[in-house]
Amino acid sequence: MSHVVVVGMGVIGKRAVRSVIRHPGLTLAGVVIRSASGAVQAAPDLPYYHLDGNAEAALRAAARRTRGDLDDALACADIVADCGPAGSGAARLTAYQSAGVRAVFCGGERELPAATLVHSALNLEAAIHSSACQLVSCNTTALGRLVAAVTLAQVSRLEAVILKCCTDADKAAKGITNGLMLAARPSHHGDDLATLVPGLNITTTEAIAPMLTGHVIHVRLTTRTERPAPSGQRLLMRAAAEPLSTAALKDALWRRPWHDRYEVVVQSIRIDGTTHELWLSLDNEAVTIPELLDVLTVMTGRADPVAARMETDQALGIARSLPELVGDGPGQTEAGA
Amino acid sequence: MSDTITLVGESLLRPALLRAAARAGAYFTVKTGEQPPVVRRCGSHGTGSPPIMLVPDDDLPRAICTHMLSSLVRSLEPAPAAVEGTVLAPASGVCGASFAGPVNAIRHDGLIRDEVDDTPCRVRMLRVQQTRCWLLAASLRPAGEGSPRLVLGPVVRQTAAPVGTDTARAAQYMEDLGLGSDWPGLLFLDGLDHDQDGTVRVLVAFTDADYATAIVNRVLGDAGGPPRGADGGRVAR
Repeated sequence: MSHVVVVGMGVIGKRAVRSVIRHPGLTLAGVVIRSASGAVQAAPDLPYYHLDGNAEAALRAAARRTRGDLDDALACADIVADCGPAGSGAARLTAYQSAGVRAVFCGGERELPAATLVHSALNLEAAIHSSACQLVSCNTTALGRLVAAVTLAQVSRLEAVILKCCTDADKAAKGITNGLMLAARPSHHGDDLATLVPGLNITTTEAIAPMLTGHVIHVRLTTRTERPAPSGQRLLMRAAAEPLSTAALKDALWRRPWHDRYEVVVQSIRIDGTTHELWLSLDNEAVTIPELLDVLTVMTGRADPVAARMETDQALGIARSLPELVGDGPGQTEAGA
Repeated sequence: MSDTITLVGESLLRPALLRAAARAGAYFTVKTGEQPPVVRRCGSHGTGSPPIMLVPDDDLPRAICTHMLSSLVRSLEPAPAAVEGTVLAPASGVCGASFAGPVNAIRHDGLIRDEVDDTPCRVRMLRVQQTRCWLLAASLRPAGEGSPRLVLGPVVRQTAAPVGTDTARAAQYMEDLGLGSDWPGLLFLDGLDHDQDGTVRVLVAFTDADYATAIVNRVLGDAGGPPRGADGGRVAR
C-alpha cells in the first residue's frame, strides 16, 4: 500500500481524498488544510494536518485539532497529491523535495517548470521516474482523451471552442450572472496539449458562461482517413438525436457523490468524410480524478500504466457506456437503493 | 423482490420521486398516460395500491412549500402563532434542471395564505434563476410568552460558519455530508434571530425530497401523512 497525503480540501481535494480512500492500492495518510471549510466539517474524522502557522491559528479558532503541520504530514507520505489553490504549488514543491517525497500537482497549477506535464492517456510513462508531475487542466484532460481515442497519427487538425463554467458549485461570490465572457486570444489548452504531443495541429479558445453544469467543448476534428466517431479512453458516445442538456445530465447522476462524472460524454454532431464535429461535455470538478489516480499509482510503482488505468476505472466505477452511466429514463425500470 | 412504484403520466416531480423510491428500496417506472398524473405501487406478490393523484405541475411549488411550512412549524417549540415570509422557489418550481426561465429575472408566484398545522401562514413565493434548493426567509410570531425554539434532529439542521453564508456553500455542505443534492429536512442557514417581542426570524433552505418521500411512503403504505395537495389531503398534525 502506498501512503498518500492530499494537500487541499477544496473542490478537487475532497474528491481526491475520497478516490484515494476507495483505491485498493492507496492509503490516505493525511489531508493538509488551511481552514475548517464545510468539507472539513462534514468529514471531521480524517487525518488532518495544518498547512502553516496561519492555518493552525484559523483551525484552532474553529476548534479543529490537527495531527501536526505539513512536515509532519510529509513524514508519513510516500507521495503527495497537491490540490491546493492555483498558483500556490511552487512554494510547496520545495518542501516536498526537501522531504524527499514525490508529488502530483492537479490541474490549474501553471507555474511549475520543474514538474513533468502528464496526461495518463498520452504520456503516463513519463511519470514513472519523475519526482514531480503536473496534471493538465480539466479541458485539456478531455481533449487529450479525444486525441488518444482517435490516435495521434490520425489527428490532422483539431479546433476547439471551450465553454467554461464561471465558478465552482460551492462559490456564490464568483462568476457572471448573465452573458458570456469571450476570450480575446487562444486559450492555453492547445499549447498544453501540443507540449504533450509535439507536432499536434491544434487551436483552442474559450468563453465563460453563467452555469455550473460542467464545461462543454465544441470540437472540429479533421482526421487523416475516414473514421467512426471516437470511443474508449473514458469517452462515452451519445447517439441520441435530441439536444443534450448538461443540467439534465448532471441531475441524472444523483447516485454519485456530488453528481461526479469522471467520463466525458461525446455528442457527435456531424461526420463528413474526415471532418468530425463534436460536443464534449465534462464535469470540470471531477474529470481529472481518474488521471490523478493513474499517476499516483504509476509514480508509487504499484502498477504499469495499463494496469494502473484499469485499477482506477474499477476503483471509481467508471462507466463504459452512457446507459450504464445514467440508467434512468422514461419507461425504464429503475433499481432501488 | 422489491416493490415497484409507477408514475403514470408526466410530472415535474418525477426525478424527486425516482430518488425517493430508491431511498425506500423500491423500483421506479414511468408510463405514459393519465392527466393529472398518478403514482401507484405494485407489490412483490402482485398486490397493489390505490393510485395517488399528484398535483398538476403548475401547483407543485405551492404544494411543496406548504408541506415544508408544516415541517417548519413542527421543528419549533412551542409552535408559533403565525408564520410570515418570502420563499425563493427554484426556477422550474422543483429542484433540478429548468427549461423555462426565469433568466436574469424574478417571477412573482403569488401569496400562500394557508393554515398549516393550525398555524396561519402567509408566504410570498418568488421564482428565481437557481436550481438547487428552496430558501425561506420568515418571521415566526410567538403564541404566548415563550419564543419559538428550534428542535434540532436528523432532519432539522443548523449550519455552522462558514457554511451558512449562501445556498452554494450550504447545499455543497449537505452533499459533503453524503446526503446528496436532494437532502432531506430543513437546513437553517443562520441562528434564530429573536426580536424583543419574541418574534423569531429564520432563514431556512430545503429541497423537494421530503415532499416526494411523503408520497412514496404513502404509496408504499407507510402512514406518515400525505403531503398536502398530493391528492387534496390535509397535512396531519
